Amino acid sequence: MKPVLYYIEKFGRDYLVLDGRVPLMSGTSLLDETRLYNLGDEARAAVMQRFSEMTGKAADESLRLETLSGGQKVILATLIALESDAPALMFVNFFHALYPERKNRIMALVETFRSRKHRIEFIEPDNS
Amino acid sequence: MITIPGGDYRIFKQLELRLPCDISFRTGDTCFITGDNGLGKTSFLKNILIPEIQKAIPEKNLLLFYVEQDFTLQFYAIRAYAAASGGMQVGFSRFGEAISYMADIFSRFATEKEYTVFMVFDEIEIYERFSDVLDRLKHMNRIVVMITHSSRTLRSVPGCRIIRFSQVSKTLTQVETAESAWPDP
Repeated sequence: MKPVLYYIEKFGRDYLVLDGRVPLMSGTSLLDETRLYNLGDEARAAVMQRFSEMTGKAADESLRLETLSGGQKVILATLIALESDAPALMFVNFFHALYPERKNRIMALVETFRSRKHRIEFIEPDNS
Repeated sequence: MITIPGGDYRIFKQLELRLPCDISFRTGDTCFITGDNGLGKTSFLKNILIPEIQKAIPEKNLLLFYVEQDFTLQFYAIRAYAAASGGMQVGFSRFGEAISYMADIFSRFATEKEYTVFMVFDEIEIYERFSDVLDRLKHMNRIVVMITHSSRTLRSVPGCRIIRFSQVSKTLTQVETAESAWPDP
C-alpha cells in the first residue's frame, strides 16, 4: 500500500484527501478537529448531531478524541469532511475500520452529499 | 496457553464486557475478533488480553508481536530501531514494510529460541495484506488474534475461531466465541 503522503501529493490539488490510516489530525478535541477544516458553528453542530445519532455517543465540542474507538474516529472524520467547504473529497483506505452495517450507513450518508460536492472518490485496496 | 476467565470486566466507566465463559488461546490458534464499532474490541486487547500475555511471558517462552490500530507511533519506532541496528538498507516509508520487517525479526528469533509468538493485530489490513504477514510467520509456533471487519479475512483461515462482540445495552457488551468459520454470505 502506498504511503499516506503519496495520495496527498498526487491528488491534494484537486481533492481534500482523507486517509483511514490517520483519520483524525489534532489529537485533542472535536472543536480543534473541526477548526482544522474551518467549520463554522452551524456545520459543527450538524457534525455533533449526526455523530451522536450514528454512534449513540454523546458529542459536544469538548469531546476528547482519544476516547473514541477506531471506527468512531473514522465516522467523525467522514462527517467533518462532508460538512467542510471542500468541493471534492477523496477517501483513501478509509472504511476498513467500520463494521459492515455501519459502513453501509455511512456510505448512504456520503451519497446524500453528492449533490453538495463536486466530486467524491474512494480508493480502497483490498488487503484482506 | 492463555486463558481469560469468564466474568464481567469493566473497561471504562460506561462500558462493561461480559464473558459468559472462559476464552482460551492455544498455540496454533487463529482467532478473529469482530463486532460493531465502539463495543470495546480494542480495549479488550489493551486492557485484558495483552496484560495477561505480558504476565505469562517469563514462564511460557512467549513473544508478543502487537500491531496497534493506530500504527503511526510504532512505525516511527520501528524505523528508528531499524536504522540504529543497521537493518535498514533502504529506508522504508510504508507501514506495511515496517510490519514485514518486524515479522521477519520475530520469525528468526522465535525459530532459533523455540518461542511461541503471540500475534495481536488490530485491523492490520489497512497497512498490509493479512495473508502476506501470516505467510512470513508460517514456520513458527504462533497464536494469532486479530480484530477485523472484513468478511474475506474472517473466511481466510480454515478452523479459525470467531470472538464476537455484541451490544447488550449501551453500557454492556457480550463477548462470545464460536469454533466454526464465518458463514458464507
